[in-house]
Amino acid sequence: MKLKYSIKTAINGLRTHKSRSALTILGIVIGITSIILIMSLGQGAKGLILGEIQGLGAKNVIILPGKEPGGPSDLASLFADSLKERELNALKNKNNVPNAVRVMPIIFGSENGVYGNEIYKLSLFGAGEVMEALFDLKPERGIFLSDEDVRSKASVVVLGSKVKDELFGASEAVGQKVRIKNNTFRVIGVLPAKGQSSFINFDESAIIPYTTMQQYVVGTKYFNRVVVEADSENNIDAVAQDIKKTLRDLHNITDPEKDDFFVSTPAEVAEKLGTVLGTLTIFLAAVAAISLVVGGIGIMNIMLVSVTERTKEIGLRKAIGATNKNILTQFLLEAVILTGLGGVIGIILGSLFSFIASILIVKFAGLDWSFTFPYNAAILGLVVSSLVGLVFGLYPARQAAKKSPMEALRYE
Amino acid sequence: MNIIEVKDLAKVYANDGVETRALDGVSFSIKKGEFLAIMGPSGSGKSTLLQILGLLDDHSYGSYTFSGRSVKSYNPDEIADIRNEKMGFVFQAFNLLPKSTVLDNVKLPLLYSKVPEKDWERLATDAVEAVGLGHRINYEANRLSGGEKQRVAIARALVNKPEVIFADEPTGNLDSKSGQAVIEIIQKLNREKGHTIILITHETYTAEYAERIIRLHDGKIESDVRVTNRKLDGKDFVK
Repeated sequence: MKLKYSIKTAINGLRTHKSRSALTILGIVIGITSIILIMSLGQGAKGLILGEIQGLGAKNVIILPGKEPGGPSDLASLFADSLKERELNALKNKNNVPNAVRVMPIIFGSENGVYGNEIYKLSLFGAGEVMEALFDLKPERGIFLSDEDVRSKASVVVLGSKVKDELFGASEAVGQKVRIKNNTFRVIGVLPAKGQSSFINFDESAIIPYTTMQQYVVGTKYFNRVVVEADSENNIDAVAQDIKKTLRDLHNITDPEKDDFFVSTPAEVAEKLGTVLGTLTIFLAAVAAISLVVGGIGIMNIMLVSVTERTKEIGLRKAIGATNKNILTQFLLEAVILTGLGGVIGIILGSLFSFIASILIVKFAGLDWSFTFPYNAAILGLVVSSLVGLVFGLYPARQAAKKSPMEALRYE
Repeated sequence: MNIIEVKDLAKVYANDGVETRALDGVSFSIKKGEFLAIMGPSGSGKSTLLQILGLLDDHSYGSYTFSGRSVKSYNPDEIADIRNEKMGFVFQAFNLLPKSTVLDNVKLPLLYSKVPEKDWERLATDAVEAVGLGHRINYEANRLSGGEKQRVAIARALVNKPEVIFADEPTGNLDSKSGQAVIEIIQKLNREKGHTIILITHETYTAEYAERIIRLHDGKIESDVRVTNRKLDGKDFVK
């Protein structure tokens, strides 16, 4: 018997029991839908985070004071004092780090900004004039910090769009004075709204010269970060190596284990986050896969019922010349077509839900989330669902094939 | 030429250590083109005999030669092929696929055969017309009357042009009028197309359409006689 007719026969068998077939594959549909949804969302999240890291500047190497952070909650670097003006100057020296284009320290803190009766809790950044170029922060109104502001410890501030809205509403902010930690700052620029487009939400920030911040706000001499921009993405690793060598020489460190600083490149960060996210996705998908096993058992159960119910049909087919293999193939194909169909429906539903989710995320969370059709997951889903049919359909199909035609015909 | 020869055929069932002899040493032969009726009360072994002859069941003792070859020498796939190519079956309960059309039901044996696909439609249509159901060809089987269903089953049995047609109480579920139509068709196939017919029945009325009647009792042949006053449909009565 040709495969074409085996498939036709199997499809006819399924069509005779439409609602039962539909209920049978529900488990598989749910399983594959959740796997596709999880994997698609995982891919989206990964894309988002990688995009964010790119947004932070793919050419930027970030130096943290203190040891390598043990995890996201390791706040030791905030209090470490290994990065100061001396280190900054060493890094700015072209002989030490030839591929560095810009070097800039950052200090951060959280302070209240006050204008008239309005108070807003903002993220305060002490930075240099190169921050504008490093993070693409061209003011919408007014100007950014200048090197003169940094040198003279000027009391000037550039406000994020939300800070401006909260403190000034619709009125003009540039030229006005705001108070931050008992110091008066003149607003020289307002940034455009950028949304939660990176780990730093510049909309809720205010940027002042780092020299001013050290002197008047935090009262310390060290930096929280130093950002070094490489001349090209290809030279990132060279820059990172040069930075390490410079700082080790400066701090008389011979054993890299004893580094009192930590150099982080965007690629490293991306890789780490990607690994974490990938593991999480696989774990969730594995949990969803359990439902496939449950669905498979459901298939086996219904196929056994179907085989018993169709004993007479099996007897007849054998009487008119069907071999055991023909019968086995027919019932196995029924199971595989059922689960395969469940897989296809699951892939469609999973992608659809993921697509809807991506629209909602963009609309309500304002994230730069993009929907990607999870090709790998789709192929995997199709293969796995067909395999479920093959594995759980085998036992019922063998039961069918084993029936003796005479007993099958006599069955009432 | 004998298409079927059985010698000392026996079938023994063992149930909880108790042996039941459904068939107990049966010997006879059937010529090609013969119309044989097997009769007997229930429990006489007539259904068992038909199942063994139709290769739906094994025999325990004795020999069974089909078309000159002992059936013990065939493997299961070869037996499936013989059932498909050389035998046709008609059952009391019709055993049609209820949701399939008349044509698809009749085509069913062809699906498992070596007949080229291009001939399927023609063969099936011919078979349906041979039983006078050309006007019902695209009906779903479950919409037909009992007599029509049995005629579809006959069409299915003869679509592969088998040498032997086995009919197990084909009129058992039918009213007398439909039953008569069915048995007349079976007789016509025998006389016009030369199919060997082996008919099981407990009705003498039906058995008298055959040329020869074997009566079984307790698994043994009680009598094996030629029908002297054979019923023949239509006018071409020959004696």
